[in-house]
Amino acid sequence: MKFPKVLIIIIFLGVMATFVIMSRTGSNKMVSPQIVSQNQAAATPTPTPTPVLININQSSNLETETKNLTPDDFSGDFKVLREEAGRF
Amino acid sequence: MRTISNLGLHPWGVIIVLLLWWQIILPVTVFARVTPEDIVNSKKEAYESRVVNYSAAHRQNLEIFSKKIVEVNKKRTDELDRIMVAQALILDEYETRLRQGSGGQGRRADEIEKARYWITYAHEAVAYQAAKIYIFDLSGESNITRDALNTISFFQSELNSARSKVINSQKILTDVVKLK
Repeated sequence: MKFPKVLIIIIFLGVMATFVIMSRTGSNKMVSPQIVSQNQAAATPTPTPTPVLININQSSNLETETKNLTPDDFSGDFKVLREEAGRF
Repeated sequence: MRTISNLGLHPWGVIIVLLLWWQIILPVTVFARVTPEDIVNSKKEAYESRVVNYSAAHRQNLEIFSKKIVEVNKKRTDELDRIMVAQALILDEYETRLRQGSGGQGRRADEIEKARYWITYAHEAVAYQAAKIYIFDLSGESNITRDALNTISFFQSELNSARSKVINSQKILTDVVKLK
């Protein structure tokens, strides 16, 4: 018994169309509410006051100001944490 | 194909069935993405299921220690964040001076854009680090010190990675502002 080729093509296209529809609707459903809320939060930025470290004006030496911005060494913090962990 | 036909199955029928299965299976594999949130949740679950069996004193120690890690991370990332804001201010001031001065900003546009890119990159790395949550990977109550030390080492490497990005953008900015 031969399977009609037109029917095969129709079924194939139907499967593909269903897959495309499912993937589009599925991708929206898979976004968790938490991610959506994060995106919404990103869309409406809340001002976070960051204290400015330096005061730049026309007479500032930018090279010196930049060099002064070297972050501290963090090893002291980790030394303290390791000592505390050792007391467990 | 001969074998399939001998089983009484039409080859096209088999293909269609396979396509239908593919349609059912593929969306699961495509959309089952693992987000950082999933990783944190699974770590939390593993931690909570194990810490229940620990003594009350050890549980309390872990809780206090976890808060200390959060404090250190916040203190240090806040500091790095302020540095990044300052770096951006310096670059803006440099650009303003160029614009008001001899009009040489055209020649330096590439250097300024490069510095701005690395400042943004470092600032994002700092923000990402600030949002990190560290959960102990517990292997047993007798190994509690080792587990805590492993978490500290991991935290240290990540925080230092953010710091090195800040230093890198600082070097690039220094090279730019040196140009008169």
